[in-house]
Amino acid sequence: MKVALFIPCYVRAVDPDVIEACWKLLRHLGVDVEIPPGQTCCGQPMGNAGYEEDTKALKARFETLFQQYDVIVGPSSSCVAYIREHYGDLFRGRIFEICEYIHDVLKPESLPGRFPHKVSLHNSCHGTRLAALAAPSELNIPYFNKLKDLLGLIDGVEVVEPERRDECCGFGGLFSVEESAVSVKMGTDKVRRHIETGAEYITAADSSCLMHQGGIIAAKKLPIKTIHILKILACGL
Amino acid sequence: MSEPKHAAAAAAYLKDTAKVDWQDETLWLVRGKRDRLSKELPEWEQLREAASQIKLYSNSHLPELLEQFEQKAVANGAIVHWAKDAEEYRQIIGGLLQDHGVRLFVKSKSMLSEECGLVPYLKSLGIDAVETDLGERIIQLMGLKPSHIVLPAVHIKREEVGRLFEREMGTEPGNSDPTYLTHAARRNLREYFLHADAGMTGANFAVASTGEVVVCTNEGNADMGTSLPKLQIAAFGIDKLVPDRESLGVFTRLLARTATGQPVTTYTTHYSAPRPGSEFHIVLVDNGRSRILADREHFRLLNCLRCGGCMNTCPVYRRSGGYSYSYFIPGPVGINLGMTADPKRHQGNLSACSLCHSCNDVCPVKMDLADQIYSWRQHYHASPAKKVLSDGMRAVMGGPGRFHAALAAAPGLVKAMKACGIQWGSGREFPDFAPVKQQKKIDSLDHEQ
Amino acid sequence: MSSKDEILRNLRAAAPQEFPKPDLTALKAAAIRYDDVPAQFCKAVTASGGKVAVLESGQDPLALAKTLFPDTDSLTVTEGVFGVAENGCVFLEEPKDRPRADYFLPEALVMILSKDAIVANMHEAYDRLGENVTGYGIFISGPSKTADIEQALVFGAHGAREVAVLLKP
Repeated sequence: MKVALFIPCYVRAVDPDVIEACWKLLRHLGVDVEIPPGQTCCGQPMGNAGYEEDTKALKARFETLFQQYDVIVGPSSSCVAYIREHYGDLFRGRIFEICEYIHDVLKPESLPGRFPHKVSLHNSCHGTRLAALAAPSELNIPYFNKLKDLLGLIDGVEVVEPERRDECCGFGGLFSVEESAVSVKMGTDKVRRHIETGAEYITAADSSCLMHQGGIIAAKKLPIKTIHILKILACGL
Repeated sequence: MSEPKHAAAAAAYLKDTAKVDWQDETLWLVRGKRDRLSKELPEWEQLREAASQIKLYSNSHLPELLEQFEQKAVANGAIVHWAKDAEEYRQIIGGLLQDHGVRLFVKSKSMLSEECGLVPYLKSLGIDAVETDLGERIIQLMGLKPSHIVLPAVHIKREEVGRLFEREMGTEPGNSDPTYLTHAARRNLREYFLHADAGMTGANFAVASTGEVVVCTNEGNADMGTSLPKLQIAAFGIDKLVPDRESLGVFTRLLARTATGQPVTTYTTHYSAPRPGSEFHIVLVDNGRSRILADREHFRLLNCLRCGGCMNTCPVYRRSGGYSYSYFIPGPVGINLGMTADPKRHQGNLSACSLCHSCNDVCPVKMDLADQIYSWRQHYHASPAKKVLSDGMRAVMGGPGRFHAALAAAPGLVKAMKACGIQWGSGREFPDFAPVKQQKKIDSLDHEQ
Repeated sequence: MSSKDEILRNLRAAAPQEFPKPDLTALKAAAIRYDDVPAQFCKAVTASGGKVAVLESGQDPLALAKTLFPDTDSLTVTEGVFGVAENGCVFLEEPKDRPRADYFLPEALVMILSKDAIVANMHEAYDRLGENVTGYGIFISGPSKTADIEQALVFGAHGAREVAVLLKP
């Protein structure tokens, strides 16, 4: 089985260590993962901004790079959900957010490593409501949280969720530019609720939300840090 | 970038942080009540699914359901009118009131009357239309528009109501106790109820199998307004049709739980026959609904119950207030409905969505509100300047060479911008871009075995 | 062409995809029910701001109502058709010997209900009503209320300030 690692453009740009963590985790769990060279962007930022029509070339590039693979995994629920929704049937059933893939398909019973810290789990909108990483708070369905389950495999980590556990942090791609005042207010409120849990870190499966909240933390010099969940999961590798 | 309409209005609104936080908390409280009540019913998700399917059924069978409704309503003794647009709606109601010599007219809350500009029109005819829902009355006396479709005065502070009622109703100066003020309004509005020549309601539902109109309120203002005058009018959009009473069982369970977090409204009234000695007129209004039905991407908007649930959950609405939107219905459904009404005029609202999809999951009739906003954005733009950013990104992403070159330049560029104090919006730093060496490490991973 | 014809023509021309009428049998079977229906009904009436009292056989309802609301003479006592446990509603029909307004004008509304005339939920309520048209019908749950001033709950917006259900065993 051929498995490809999809590298979302902004992850490469702002937090490439996440990719290394992905790579290590998948290898550790026995997946012979490949990284197709020449990756750029899936087109989500332009699509959400209203220019999906202009992303045909990006889609074509993505399809060429990935269509030969049986499974594609990527560390961004938002991009994965976008491809599922806007790429027709081509990748249906074979593209996964990486935590989803590890939780649902690889199902490890343990992971090495120790992370003796309190972390506040950021349930991203697209992870929760589109990629089913957790039960959306709006729905009357039994509670589940795949990210929490995975963090439970790491020794020493204490996981909490903020008040309003899956309210949007206000990133939203170009929303953060176009509606920057609302976006910053949403992010400020979100970071405050993470801080109120007493956690040292905000962790999430989406670098985009962390990048936005990190920007607010930096500007206001707030007493909390951000860390991508994969770095915690791969901390012993 | 020149700011689009909503964004600019929201930025101004956000300057008063205390008020913003108060609004956000107030609306979140309503969302919280809705969550608790929805979770008391194990069948909640089935209910939403059924409601969605019933609405899709009835909206796709409107011609026969409307004719059935009319036939039953006439048999019940009601008089049925059809209005193809706002103008005809206003003329029918204005005509009825004039024919009956109505001078004082009481009405309960109707989003359709806002949509069609009824009250200003009646004023031009010399007819005083008194809003009787407390929130609507406050707004009317203040000369404002509702900022929320279910909680029209949710943005008004009690002290403001106190000062208003002191002026309008002679209440004690400085008394802003909600109970005191509500009871003052009760006494004041009762005079209007007792002397009104006609009363009007909208409808929450119109039942094809029985020809009845169903109105849900907590205050009882619709009931007061229709129980005394000799002329009763119910005017509503044709999308309010439901096939039968069995369907009402589904909708009456969802409506108040979602709207205000109550198991049901205090009054759920079924009007079919006129009261003895009075007339009951029903006005069925299209005003663009048949056009929405013909729109393959947006016909699901006709599912809407006008419950306001999407507003209470919307993180953008809660932090930007109803007046930041150009359409009279704000929030997720308002962004969409505004676009169906006049896209050029209301495209400035399209930015007011982070695509968090919470509205889709709250909506009792399962409208795909966020997806529809995505879809509008492909044809209309809140700010044309955004295209520059999108085009820039697209150019950079066009190939790995360009992409990597941009990434190589980015760390230094961002550093320089930060040094100049340039932020990613006020109060947020740009992210630090990874140094090239760190980025390159990814490309060597495949070769490490 | 009349507006009616024009609207119907436009709707037919819109020719949306036809959606079938859903079968609600499974939903109604899954809908919430209660082991003790009257107890749940009382709980729901209380939660809606109303009172519940037991009307013993032979007891005068008006006298009982007056003990519940001693401070007012503005009172309507009426027979309810049936109650709904999930939300505390009582269904009333067009009043026989008095105007409809008597449900809303007085300070207190008292509804008499037989304990065995309570259904579990609104599905059962509408099944019980069927598709018969009686001219007028209303579900009332508790007193008139509003929260339009700063979301503070206040009873007695326009209709009855106080509501009681008298349950006949």
